[in-house]
Amino acid sequence: MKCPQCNHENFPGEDSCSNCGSDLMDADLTKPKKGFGALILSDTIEKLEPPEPLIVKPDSTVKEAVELMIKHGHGSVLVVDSEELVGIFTERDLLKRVVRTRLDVNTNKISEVMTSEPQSLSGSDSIAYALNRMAVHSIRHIPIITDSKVSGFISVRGMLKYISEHTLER
Amino acid sequence: MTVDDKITNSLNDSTLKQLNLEPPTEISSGTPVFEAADKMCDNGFGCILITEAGKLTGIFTERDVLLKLSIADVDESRSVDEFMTKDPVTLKLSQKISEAVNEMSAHGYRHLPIMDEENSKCVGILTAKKIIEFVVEFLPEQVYNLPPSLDQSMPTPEGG
Repeated sequence: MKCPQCNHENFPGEDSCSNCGSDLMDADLTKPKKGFGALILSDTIEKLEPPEPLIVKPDSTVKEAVELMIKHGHGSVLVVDSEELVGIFTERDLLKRVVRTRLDVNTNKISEVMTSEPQSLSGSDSIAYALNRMAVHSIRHIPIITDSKVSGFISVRGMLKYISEHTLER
Repeated sequence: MTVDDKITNSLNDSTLKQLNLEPPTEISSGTPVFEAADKMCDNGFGCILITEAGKLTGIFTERDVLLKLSIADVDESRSVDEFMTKDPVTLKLSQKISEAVNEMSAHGYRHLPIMDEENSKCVGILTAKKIIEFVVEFLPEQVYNLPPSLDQSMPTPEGG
């Protein structure tokens, strides 16, 4: 890392220049100022226009949740208990925990097959966070919480659209 | 060259071959539909390909499971052929990543079978996630080095 004062080449991560002693903390923040790299830091998740999520209660049956997903063509449904997000149920969960086990969808509750306490993000978080969750943690659906209420969700599909709009169509 | 240009150029210039896609799971035409769903569950791709005499005839995805299998009273002996999407759209390994991105975002496809040069065999499945991973590789500073989100909920206590 180059010292902005004396141009001495320091080891990456040094707090101060080993030559002149000037502060390197700010020099470390080499964040891009323009382009897609900057956009994903300045654009918030709200820019993705997170669709309204489908919501069921923990004691809804699996069938009720699945019917809702089919009706709206969504790959996920959020499970909310008195305004608090307690789980998410996706097509993947359906395949693994319902179809695979030949579970009775009429009697079993969604709380038994959902993924509990899913990682969520805030609508005011930058898009970089959503990319991080999708690429690093392999999460395909992320619930969005705004003002402590479930306000939407984003999917890899919505993200792909955003990426293509900002990197390909120009 | 900015990061921006690099991403755009890479999407436009790199071929699907450069993504090193994993080979797909294939099953024969006539396989019972629940067996197909179980195999799909194991492979983690969210889809499975159906072939007849080595030729691709259909794709069966998590979406098909949701729409046609999950709450319908389906006889275990029925064939996957009745539930699959026939003759799916495919791309060739030599095509550009940008072509695949356009195809996926224009039609909402989540899985694209990628064929070899002779268009005779599927050599990989392209997913939206794979493209996101490709783009993120250009943005390590922004995506990998993030402080925790203020509102993020942790599924398990750290170090617990």
